[in-house]
Amino acid sequence: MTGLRVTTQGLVHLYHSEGHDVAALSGVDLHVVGGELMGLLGPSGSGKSTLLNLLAGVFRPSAGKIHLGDVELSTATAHEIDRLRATDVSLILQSATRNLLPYASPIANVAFAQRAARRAGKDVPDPREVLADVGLEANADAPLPSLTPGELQLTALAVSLAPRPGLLLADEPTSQLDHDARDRVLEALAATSRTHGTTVVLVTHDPHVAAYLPRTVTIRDGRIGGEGRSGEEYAVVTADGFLPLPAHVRDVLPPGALVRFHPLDEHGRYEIVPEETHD
Amino acid sequence: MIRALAYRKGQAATLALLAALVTACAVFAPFYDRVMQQALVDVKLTEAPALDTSLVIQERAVPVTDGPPPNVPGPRDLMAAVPSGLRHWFQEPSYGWTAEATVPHRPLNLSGQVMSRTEACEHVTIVSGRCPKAAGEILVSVADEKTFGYRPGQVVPTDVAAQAADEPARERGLVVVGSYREVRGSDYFAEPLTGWSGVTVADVSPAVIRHEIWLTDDATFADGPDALPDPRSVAVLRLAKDRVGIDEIGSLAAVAAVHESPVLNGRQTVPDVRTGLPDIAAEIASQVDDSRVLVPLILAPLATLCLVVLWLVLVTITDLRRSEVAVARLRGQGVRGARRLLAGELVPVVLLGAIPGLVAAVGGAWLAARLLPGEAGLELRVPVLVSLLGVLVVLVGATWAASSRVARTPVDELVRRSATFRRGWRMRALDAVLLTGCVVLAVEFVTGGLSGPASYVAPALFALGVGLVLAYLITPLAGAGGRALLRRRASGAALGLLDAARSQSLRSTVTVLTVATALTVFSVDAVLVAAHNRDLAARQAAGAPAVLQVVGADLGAVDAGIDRAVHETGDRRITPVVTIRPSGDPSITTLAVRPEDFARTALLAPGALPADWVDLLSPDDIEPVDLTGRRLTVSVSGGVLGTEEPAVLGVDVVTDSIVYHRDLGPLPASGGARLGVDVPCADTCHLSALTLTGSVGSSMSGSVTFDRVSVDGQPVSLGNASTWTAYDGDALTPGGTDALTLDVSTDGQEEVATTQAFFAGSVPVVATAGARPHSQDYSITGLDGRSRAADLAGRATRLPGAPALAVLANLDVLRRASHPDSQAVLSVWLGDADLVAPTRRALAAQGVALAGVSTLEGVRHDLDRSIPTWAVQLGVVTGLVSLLVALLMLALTAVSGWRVRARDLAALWVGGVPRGIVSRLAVLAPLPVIAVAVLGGAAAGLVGAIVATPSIPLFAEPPEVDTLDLATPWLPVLAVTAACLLLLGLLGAATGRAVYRRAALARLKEGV
Repeated sequence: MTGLRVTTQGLVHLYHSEGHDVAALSGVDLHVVGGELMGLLGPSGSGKSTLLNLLAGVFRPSAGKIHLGDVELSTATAHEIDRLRATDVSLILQSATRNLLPYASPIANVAFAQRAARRAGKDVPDPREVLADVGLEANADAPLPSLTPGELQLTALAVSLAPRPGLLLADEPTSQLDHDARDRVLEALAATSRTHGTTVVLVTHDPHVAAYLPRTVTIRDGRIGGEGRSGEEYAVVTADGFLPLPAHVRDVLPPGALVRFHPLDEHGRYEIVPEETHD
Repeated sequence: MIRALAYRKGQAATLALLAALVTACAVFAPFYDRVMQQALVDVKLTEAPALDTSLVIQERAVPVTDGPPPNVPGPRDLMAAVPSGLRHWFQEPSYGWTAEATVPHRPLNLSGQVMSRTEACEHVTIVSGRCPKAAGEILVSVADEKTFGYRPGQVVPTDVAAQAADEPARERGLVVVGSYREVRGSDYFAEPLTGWSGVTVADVSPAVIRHEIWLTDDATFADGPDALPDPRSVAVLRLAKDRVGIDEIGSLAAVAAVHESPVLNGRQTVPDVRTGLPDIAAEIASQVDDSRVLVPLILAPLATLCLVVLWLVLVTITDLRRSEVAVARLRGQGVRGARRLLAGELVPVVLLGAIPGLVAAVGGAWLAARLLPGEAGLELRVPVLVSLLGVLVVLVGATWAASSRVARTPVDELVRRSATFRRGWRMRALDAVLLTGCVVLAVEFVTGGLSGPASYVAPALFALGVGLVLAYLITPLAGAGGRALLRRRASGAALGLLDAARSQSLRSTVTVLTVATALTVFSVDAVLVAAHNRDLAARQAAGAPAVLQVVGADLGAVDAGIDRAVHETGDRRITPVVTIRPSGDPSITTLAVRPEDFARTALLAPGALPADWVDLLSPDDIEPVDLTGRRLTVSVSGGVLGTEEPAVLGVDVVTDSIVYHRDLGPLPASGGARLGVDVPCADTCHLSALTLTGSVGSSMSGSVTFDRVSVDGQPVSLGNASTWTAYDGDALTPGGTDALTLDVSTDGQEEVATTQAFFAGSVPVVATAGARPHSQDYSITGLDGRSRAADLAGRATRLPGAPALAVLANLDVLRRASHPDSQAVLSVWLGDADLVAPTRRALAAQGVALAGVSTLEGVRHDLDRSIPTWAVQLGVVTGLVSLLVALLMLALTAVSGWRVRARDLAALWVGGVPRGIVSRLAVLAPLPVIAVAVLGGAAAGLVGAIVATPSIPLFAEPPEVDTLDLATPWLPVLAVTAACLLLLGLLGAATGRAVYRRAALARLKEGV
């Protein structure tokens, strides 16, 4: 199984609230290659969870396009989206219990999650095998209330991996977990990407988690505000040529500041020179 | 599925219980309807006289003026008139003959019937002798044996039929071979055989003494010169009651066709068919029609309530599974898969719940069949199966619809961490439509625009409207109240109100509790009002706790019997009542009573009679003019001239309430004369009137004075002139000591009279509204059926045991110059049913036979055994189930929302609210809402009852006299309201306490 490639173009999403439209995303261009493990970072309300839900087909974008592999999600029918969820796209909601049937055991939850995939003709692994992938084979038949928070989160992860999806979307999968549990979950996510080639996109606030990820994208004010690769932070030029400034630079270059770009050398490096303003 | 059910046991149990309730109601209705109908058939056929439930075909010869009567066809030939399809409903017919048996006897002949029937002796108890086996042998009743002294072997001479008009009377002898006693309760003969031995029948000419039925052999009726008079061949078909149920009763109406059968026509004989079956069938059909309307309509509000609650429960339960639906949708199962997930869990629950519901319905119907009269069993019929199927479809359909509702929810709403709730006054479209409909119907209902069957469901709709209004008012009011209390630092009460205001299930809870309480109160009111009205109608119809109908009109013998009964029992609540119900429509019935005895005996409705009615009807203190002797003489002076012949002086004397008129002779044209006549006053009688009679159409004028009246030479005082009443237009003046002068001036009036005041014309009466005078010539019907002048002494709303148009008069006043005739019905009213036996014995000792006994309990029993009564009694079920539904709703609210409430309570605790306050808050918070809903529902139920009860048929047949009293039975209604308040309050407090116990800090970590 190879992971799904994810591409968004000029993605815009508006919320309607009390007669006003609020832009949660204002033109997001994102590209995730198949099998990549990446994280979406950003402050609360920045739009990262919205972006995750758009990628999962939970929301329909107000404008822009989403490509999951060869499927253009923004124009897909409800049936096509259902089929995608059944076979290729899994979403883990924040708080593990929201992803589980509360009365069912881990193995029953996994089996339940495989039903639609089976009906769609997809070859799915044995539920115990899925649980073994996340290290929960010993808890396969345990009632959910007997599991620790970490085990619950791993169960939710197993459920989302039950149909062997090409894309795994996870919203804050390590929140409210202790360090050991967090590390077990991260390891499981990484193993999934590594072993099955699943594309994994997760939302997190946790800098430890961000540091663990090979690539992070920071969403700020509904746009991609930066990207981190192997611990290095980058600003990302948008499709229409804008360059969001990193937060620490904004103090130096407040809104309305005039700057000039001076080429420094033949390697394409530039110097940004603020222009003094005259009131 | 099992795990899913076990995970939310409380919800599953509530849903299953509700499904059981809906199923029980739906299936019980057709069962109960059928049981009622079968019970009705059983009651009607069992309680009807045997003559009514049998088909008796007789044929007698047409009377001829000359020559022997034509031969009458044999009894078996009569069966040709009965269609073969009809015979199945009857037992094997019995055949025989009946004829008149008149025994020459002094002073009065004995008269009665002699009959033969197939195996007659096997259906009586032979006390002495043997069964008749040959022509002319008879078996007499034990009463006749005692009354007339008959002994076995005695020959009783009997008139035979005349062969020619001028033939002298001839006799034949019937030989007594034994005596029999009638088997009590046997309907074999389809008519009573005994009960009137020795009773004098005066209203036939000549009067006769009755003997009871004599049994004989068929051979006694052989044609010939000694044939008995008026022979009839008879075929008796007794109904096979065990073969007749509600489905067969319609066929019995076809019995009426036998009346018109042409088979018996074309002979010189008269067919006569007697049966009451068509009438019974018609009455049953009418009540069955009532039941088809009443039962569904009485249960409709309850069914509506149950369905509404079922829907609310399903909505709540499925809403609580939104996260599971979200899981299903996110795993690609789509709407169908999500619906399957919910329905797969909930449909089995409602189907499992239907099983105990079905069992409860069958059990309830079985209990009803045991409680209702008759031997009706449970019948699994099409309506029951249709109801069961229907309710299963409704249960599964509602569950499927509620599951679909949540399954169709967009995924983005499903994954939202908390649902969005509307606040404030915004009304949902469905509620608005419901409320508008309820208000429109309520206005129609209250203004009387809604009548008939629709009015039965109106109270429920009215209650629904009230419930919706309360539901929409209570949230902002509770919120405002809570905030106000918070400002005053009354934190406990404030938090309670605020907690109530933010409850998401508040509106549906308030609506359901209001409607349920309203239905409970309405049902209790309806059941009690109906029972009260049946009691009033029974008291009115019965007249007294027990009434003995007397055969004949011998008031003297009855009085003697009553005196004896009073003496033996020491109870003075025994009194004679004579009812005179003249023919004609409308007619005014006279109820002749002894006021003081009647007042202590009869069931007088409070306020129905004037407070002083006994005094109003009491006789005046005028003494009669007594005559004791054989020869009456009177001196007359003056002169009254007739146009053609002299007027004749006459007197009316009264003895034993019988008026005897005697003429003394013509008045002299002038001067004086002493006239005399023999009078039947050897044992004292009363002089009631002096009369002057002219020729027909003549006129009289003049003045005449009567004085020096004597009997057998002993002077008699006529008393003061004021004690005499003159004919209208005539002057009556004192003519000196013990003398009367009558000035006469008539034109075409052949007789004038002056009446002694003791017998004076006007009788004081208390009359009901329709029986009051419309002109000055007010009269009532006297004991002898003749018109009597009356004075309206008082007004009554109704008289016990009498029809709507009736007057109450003093029996002793009416009796002074008349005695009961055959139109008068003589009865003895008893103040206690325990007096029946001793009074019956005392009357029998005086030779008074009883035609029947009726009791208040019996009348009440009859009224209780009707479809309207049984249908209204369903209100008990409605009330109980409504209360149960309210309790379920409250339980469901607790079960479904306990996690949220527990978390809220934990949050309050963490926020610094003392545990004591949190505890009190948990227990007390539900109570204000419950109180408002229960009190609002009780008020709505009361209003509904006041307006709707007049439309509910309380009787199978409207009572002859309107005794309707729809006053609210306040005490029971308040008690029921208090019980609702208590039960619901206790449950609310108990669930609050249970939630508080679960309000641990760990709850704060839980998601919604």
